[in-house]
Formats: sequence, structure tokens, C-alpha cells
Amino acid sequence: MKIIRMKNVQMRYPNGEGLKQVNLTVEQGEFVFLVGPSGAGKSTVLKLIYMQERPGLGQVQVGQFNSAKIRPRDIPYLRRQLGIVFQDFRLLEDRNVFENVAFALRVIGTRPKEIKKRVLRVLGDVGISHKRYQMPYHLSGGEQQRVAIARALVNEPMVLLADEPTGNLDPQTAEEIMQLLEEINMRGTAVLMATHNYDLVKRYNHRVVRIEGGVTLD
Amino acid sequence: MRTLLFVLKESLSGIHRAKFSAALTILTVSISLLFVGIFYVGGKNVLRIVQEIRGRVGFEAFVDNTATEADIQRLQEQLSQIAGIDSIEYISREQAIEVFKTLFDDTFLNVVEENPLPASFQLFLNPAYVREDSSRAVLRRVAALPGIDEVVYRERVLQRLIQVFDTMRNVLIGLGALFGVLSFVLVSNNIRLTIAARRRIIETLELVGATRGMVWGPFVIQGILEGLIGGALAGMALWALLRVFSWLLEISLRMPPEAFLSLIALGLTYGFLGAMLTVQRRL
Ligand SMILES: Nc1ncnc2c1ncn2[C@@H]1O[C@H](COP(=O)(O)OP(=O)(O)O)[C@@H](O)[C@H]1O
Ligand SMILES: [Mg+2]
Repeated sequence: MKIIRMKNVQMRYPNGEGLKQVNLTVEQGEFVFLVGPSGAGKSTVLKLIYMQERPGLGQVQVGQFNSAKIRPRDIPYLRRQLGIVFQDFRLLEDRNVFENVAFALRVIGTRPKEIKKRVLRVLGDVGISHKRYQMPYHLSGGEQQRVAIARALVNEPMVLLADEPTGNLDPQTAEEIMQLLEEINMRGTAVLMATHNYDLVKRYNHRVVRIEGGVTLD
Repeated sequence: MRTLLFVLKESLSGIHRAKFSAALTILTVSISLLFVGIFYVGGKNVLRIVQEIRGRVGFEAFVDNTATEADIQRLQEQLSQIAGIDSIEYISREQAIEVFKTLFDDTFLNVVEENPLPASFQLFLNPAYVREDSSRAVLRRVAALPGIDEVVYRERVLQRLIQVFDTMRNVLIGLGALFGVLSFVLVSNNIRLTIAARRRIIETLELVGATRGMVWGPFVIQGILEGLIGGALAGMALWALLRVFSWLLEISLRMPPEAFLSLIALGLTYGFLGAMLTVQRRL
């Protein structure tokens, strides 16, 4: 079953840049690399999936949400079914690791007891339990990305969208984060990872979608 | 309910984290609302003084010395039918002399054999006719009555005073409105800064699927709280200020009972609107 489907999608920023023709599907539980040089349109594809941007032509289907029909006030409910991580981690500097992850659950009104249980479990899954009371600025880049991944996963999303998740990390740490994404995928969560690192992509046996100049190639 | 608590907590921590900016906003809002309050109380007092003076404006219509009792009766009748005259008081020649004697040395009167003072009507204008053009129309009608010798305007000065006070009141109301708008601008500016400072939290909220109300909520609540506190502080400062002035000037300046609540309501409104406007434009 497809959880993401983009067909002949075109999208233009006000300055004329954007996507010309994008075709992309992600099956349930699949791991897909979206690979292309910087400026090719990878981040824009992800923005269309979490509906920060809307397509000019074509449609984006994500789970039961369709870009042509979704109302702005339904977008939060789409986001609750997605996990999103970025190159720059985007943690909240004013609260500790536990609270950063709990944030995603507090926003949707989960009961405090349930929050504690689920946050501790997901922190264990990403291997950062022992630092749960640390502030983000006391953590290494790899550790911060683990926290960001935990926050993305705590709500049990149907797909994890990762935009250059290893872009800010040294090769050794990048490898560890890749291992973590593999594990997460193995447990059943689909992963769509955008990267410009062809070497990294080659070492994993996953489906690859290439994008160049706003056009996806097969 | 839980999400509501969460929003409230986030907005409190928003104020807490931007303590300095929030304190500055509250302070400036309360100062400008204090001005609003001062202008309101000032305007109200000016208005009261004006009403009082208006009730005193009038003129004297001197009666021809040849007028008989019947003429006086008729004049009284005719005067009472002129629109704009509120009260009529007849002063006979004898009464006029008595008044004169209380005011001046009566040796002067001994020089003349006959009572030189004419009888007169003291006419008081309805406050609505105090403006110069309408009072002049009334005056002309009185002067045209047969048996009226001369009409003397006693209170030209008062009339000038009323005009000055009217202008003053308008200026005060204008200044009050200006400072009201100022506090509105201050709140919205503070919210704008807070939004800029909290970009990351807003992004994260949107990323993890917070509804629009939850993203906006903390800022709107922050605006309301700042306005509310600013209004309350302004109310207390106004009260204290009136006490000090009462004591210094040895007059009684009372805080109008509605002023305190009005300032709080005004602060709340400005805080709410300022926040809403900014949030709508920036988020
Ligand atoms: N917010 C934006 N406004 C205007 N142009 C943008 C914006 N974001 C990206 N672009 C442009 O769109 C193209 C694709 O960008 P992006 O999707 O970020 O590429 P990638 O993630 O592959 O590096 C680039 O030419 C970029 O300059
Ligand atoms: Mg990018």
C-alpha cells in the first residue's frame, strides 16, 4: 500500500524556482532515498509532503490526505502522522531532552502518565535514555539528532521524513545515525531520506529516486 | 483541557523568558494608559466645570423707566416664551438700589435725589444656547421687545472660558485616544518581538501538528495578560496620583468609579487586539 504518492507534480516559488516534474511513491514500511545535488529540489519535495507548500500542478497524496482537498486546519492532523527531522536538528534550547520529546505529545493532549511511558521507551530506542535530563546544548551533534529522531518517532508516524539528517555530522557519527534509521525502518516505519551524498546511498540496498533541476529521474 | 493548560504554561514561560521585554511593555502600556486615565478624569472635570459655567451664563435686560406694573407682567410673559431662556428673575428698582448699597458706599446715592437704577430682568440661558451665535439670537429677540431699554451681556468672559474649556476637552480626548493607540502599538510590537524570539518553538509546534489555536494561543494570552496588568497598574497609579493632587491642591479629586475597570478593560482589549493583529500577520 502506498502511503505517499506524487504524480507529475509541479511547484513554483514566487522567484520562479521550484519543481518542474516530480513523480514519487513510498510504500508502507519502505526505505527510499531521494538523492540529488544541492538545489535540485529535495527539501521542496519534503515540504510538499508535509504540506508546508502546495503543488501548482499535480497532486500529493499522503495517507488519507490529498493536497487538492485538504483544508488548512487539517494540516496539523497530517503532521501528527509524519515524523520529520532536519540537518540542523531543531531542538528547543530552553528544555531538556525529555521535554523536547514530550513536547510532541503534550501538543496533542496525551495524558502525562502515557507521555512518560512513551518518551522513555522512544529515548531507549534511539539510545539516549541516559542523557534524558541534559539540555540540548550539552549534547554532541549525533546525540542531538538522536533526540530529534526520538521526537519524530514518539507519535508513531506512518513515515519518517529525513532531510539530510547526516549533513552536519562527521562520517563516523553519520554512520551511526544511518544504522539507527535502518533499525527504525526494520521495525516497520517507512523512511524517506533526502541526501546529496551519493556515496552513502550506494552503501545501502534501498530504492533510490534521483532528482535534478526539479525533475525526478528513473 | 490538557492542551489548554499547555498553551497557558507556554505563554507564561514566554513572558518569563522574555522578562525584560515583557516588563518594559507592561510598564509602557501602563504609562500610556495612565495618560488615558488622566485625560479621562481631566476631561470629565473640565466637562463638569463647563456645565456649571453654562448654567450661569445669562444677561440683564433693563426695563424702560416708564414701564407700568402691567408692562412688567406682559414682559415677563413674553420673555418666558422665548426659547433658550431657562430662568427669569425680576429685579425691581428698589431691589436694585438695595443690591447697590450692599456693594458700594451709599454716600454716592445721597448726591442724587432720585433712584437712578432701572428695573431689570436677570435672564439665564439654557446651557444648549450658550454658544455665541445662538445666545446672540436670543439676545436680539429680547432687545426687540417693547419696554426693554437695553440688554447687557454680563458674561462674555464666561463664554470665552467655555470655548477655551471646550477646546481643552477636545484636546484631552484626542491625546487620550493617541496614547490608547500608542499602547496598542506597543503591545503588538512586543508580540512581534516575542514571535521573532520564539520562531523555533513556533516551527516545532507546527512540525509536530499543533493546531493553529495552539500556536497562536500563547501569544494572544501573553498580549491579554500584558494589557491586563498594564491596565491595572495604570488604574492604581491614577488613583495614587489623584490622591496626591487632592492633597497638594486641597481640593477633592475623586477617582470616577468606572475609571479603574475601564482602564483594565481597555488594557485587555488593546492587548488582545494588538496580539491578534500581529499573530495574524506574522504566523
Ligand atoms: N522558500 C524558497 N523561496 C524561493 N526559492 C526557494 C525556496 N526554497 C528553495 N528555493 C529554490 O528552489 C530550488 C530547490 O531548492 P531545495 O528544494 O531547497 O533544494 P535541495 O533541498 O535539493 O537543495 C532551489 O533553486 C532553491 O534556491
Ligand atoms: Mg535541502
